[in-house]
Amino acid sequence: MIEVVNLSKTFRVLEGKTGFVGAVKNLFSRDYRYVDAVRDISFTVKQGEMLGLIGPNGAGKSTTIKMLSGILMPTSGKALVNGIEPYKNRQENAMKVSVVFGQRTKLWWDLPCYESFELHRVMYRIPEKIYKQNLDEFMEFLELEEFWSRPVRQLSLGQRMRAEISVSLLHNPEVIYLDEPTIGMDAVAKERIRQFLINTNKSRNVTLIITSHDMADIEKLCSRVIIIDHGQIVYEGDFDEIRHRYGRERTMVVEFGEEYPEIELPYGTVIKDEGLKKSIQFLREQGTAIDLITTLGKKYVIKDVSIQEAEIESIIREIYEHGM
Amino acid sequence: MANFVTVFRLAYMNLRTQMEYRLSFFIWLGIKVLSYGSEYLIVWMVLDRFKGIGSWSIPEVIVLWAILQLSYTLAAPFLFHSAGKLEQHIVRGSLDYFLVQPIHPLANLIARNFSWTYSSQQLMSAVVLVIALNASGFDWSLPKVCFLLLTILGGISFYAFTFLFGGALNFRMIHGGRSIGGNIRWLMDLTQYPIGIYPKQLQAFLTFVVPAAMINYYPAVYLLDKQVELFHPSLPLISPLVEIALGQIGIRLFTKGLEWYQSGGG
Amino acid sequence: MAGVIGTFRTYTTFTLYFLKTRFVYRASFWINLGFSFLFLLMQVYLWKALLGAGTFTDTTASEMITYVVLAGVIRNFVGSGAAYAIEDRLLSGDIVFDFIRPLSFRVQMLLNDLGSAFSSFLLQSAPLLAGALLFVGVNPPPSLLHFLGFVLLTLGGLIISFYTSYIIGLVAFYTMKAEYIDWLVSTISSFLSGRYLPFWLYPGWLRAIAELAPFKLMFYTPISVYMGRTPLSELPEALLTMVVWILILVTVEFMLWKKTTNRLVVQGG
Repeated sequence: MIEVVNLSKTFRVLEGKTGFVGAVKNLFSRDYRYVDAVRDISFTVKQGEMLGLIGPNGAGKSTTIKMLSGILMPTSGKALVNGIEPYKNRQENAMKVSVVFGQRTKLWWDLPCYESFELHRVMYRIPEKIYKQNLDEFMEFLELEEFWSRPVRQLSLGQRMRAEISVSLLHNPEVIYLDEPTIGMDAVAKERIRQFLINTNKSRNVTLIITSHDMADIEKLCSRVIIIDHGQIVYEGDFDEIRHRYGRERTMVVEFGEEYPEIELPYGTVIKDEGLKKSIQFLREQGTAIDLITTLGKKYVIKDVSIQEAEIESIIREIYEHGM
Repeated sequence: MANFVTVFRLAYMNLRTQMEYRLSFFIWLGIKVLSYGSEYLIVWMVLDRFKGIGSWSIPEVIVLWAILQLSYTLAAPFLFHSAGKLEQHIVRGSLDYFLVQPIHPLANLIARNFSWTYSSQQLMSAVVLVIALNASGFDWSLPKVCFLLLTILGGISFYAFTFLFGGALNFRMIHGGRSIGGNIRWLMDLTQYPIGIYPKQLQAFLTFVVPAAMINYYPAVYLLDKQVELFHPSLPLISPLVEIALGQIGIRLFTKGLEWYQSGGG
Repeated sequence: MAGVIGTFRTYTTFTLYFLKTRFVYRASFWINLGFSFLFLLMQVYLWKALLGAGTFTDTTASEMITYVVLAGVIRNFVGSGAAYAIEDRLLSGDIVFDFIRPLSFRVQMLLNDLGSAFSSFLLQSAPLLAGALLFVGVNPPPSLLHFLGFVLLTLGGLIISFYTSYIIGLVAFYTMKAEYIDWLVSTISSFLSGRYLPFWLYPGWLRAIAELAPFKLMFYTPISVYMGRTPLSELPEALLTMVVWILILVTVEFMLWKKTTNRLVVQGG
């Protein structure tokens, strides 16, 4: 179980001065300003839960994850991961958790994939039986055979992430933190990873804490979501509720067959007019996309349609502006 | 115990990696031999012209130089690419992963970045040292040889200190140009000459502020039975001990720097 | 005319950029300066100890000290990163963008170097020189002409340093990493340039080799002119040597460049 109590993190940031005179001044004295990256957040996570941590860039998600995994020390407050304060008892905590940073690899770049697995086995003192058991399972599900002997630098992003997550689960951690695990991956690869995570969570009761900008990741994986903005928890709860309550706006991009100067809409407004292509925004409660397109199709020639869901950024902005 | 196994595994993987890049390995080896040779050439040219420095004959000056070289080539394989290039690791983000792995980050860093290309220089330095000692009339008695080993250990510790201290500061600031550790090592290009030729204040600086002279000069005074003026007669014998202590301090400073990094600096 | 002004503006922009980035690293600026001066002091005392006795007639202590100071001053701003820049550019293929820019990559890098040298001179060499003039003794040049010769030759040395590095970067494209060649050439050229010791301390055979290479123009030749070791009568010859070497390097670079870019364009990067 993870307990976060009044966790805060303030960074001291150098204030750069502008201009040449400022640069000279910089030589002799420095100005700092304080940035509150995380402000007094509290929440709990039950063992085996899959929690999504979302928010715009710079909201404090990564900082929170770093404190939970023991990389950063909080300015105040505390975090308890199964009774241990991770930033105080780093090595003890390390044996029981795992972190995956989507944009950096912990695998050994120049050596064949399996070497990184062997290293993990030694480093975490994994008993032979458990190692073999886990490895067989991961091998099968994620088809690691494909690239087992290839140097990590030669792997595609999808392959690398499969290896990355497998390695991270070899020692049966109680908690695994995933920071943007599917970033840059194609849809098929993403789905495979998601499925793997769901299975692993079910079979091993591993607690998963995920940050991602991909709404689909969060939607498919997480039962609970915490939205962070400007270092504070802005929403905590069910994902469905967010979507229905706050993901109200939808945008439809319609490519018309002719350039119509004006469009008659049953609902919604044209927010962008690019001649043949027009972006129409409407609210969920006003009607469905299908109805809209059918109605339009009766009056106008339509070549193509695409529908954009409201982005996390705009949902969060909305939540933050209008509150719960 | 388990940590030792991990450290060796890391060093093994590191070796395998360096062997993968065979061409690179041998080129670096060659470059290092060339560098080393050129440093030797400079010292030799100066000494040859001036037939010694002050009261120190040519072989005696070479002893001073060789002690430094041997110490460096024994310390650098562990620390040059790890603590010495800390900035790169921080920028690449690998340090964060080290903080979430169950072995000490410094051990992790060192084992992964151990350099195997110093062996030729180690050998050459050792050979040069032995030859120069002989030519200086070193008496190879047991106490003296033991002290010699202690001296080398002290030298390694001091170089380790410069790398670790520089690394610790690296946590605190981004660098332009040389780090403090790098600066100290640069200065040591000139402590290979007997510091007795420098004015008293400079000698004091090199003894009490940046004790580089304690690696070679003072121990050599004892090893070679030199009659020179000293700030204190005990200096030759306590020098290696001071250096070893500094090595320990270096490790502690690095760990402190790590803690600072953890509290969000950088 | 517009081209000249544009070039000048670019040049000053590069310089200011370097000045600004250097200033950001405040503590290390002062520390580096302190150590630089310390290093200089130690060299001065070393030579005083070696020569103070006055038994060597081919050089005096004050001469060596002057040499050491000037070498320290030049060392701070000579040196080029062009090899790595061009290596990066070629490997990534970004070089094609430079084909359509108003300033060729070569000129950009040269301006970079000059700007960097200028800012290094202001920030590192000038304070060092000031300290040396105040606390150490530096011999003045015998005449203004000597000094002008010194300045011209130093500039030539900068250009030679740049082209050498640039050529290394081009050669690296065909062979191995620029880092290796750069290390190799740096080690060798540090001898042949007189960076640490003046030629008059070299054994005959080494001096002969050094005289044949272009690297001497980075350190030894300019300083020797400054000190009057090279009499005014030989100055034109030194300047001519400088020009000839620059022309040679420019030509070599140009031919290599053509070959490399042709290969790139044909192979598609």
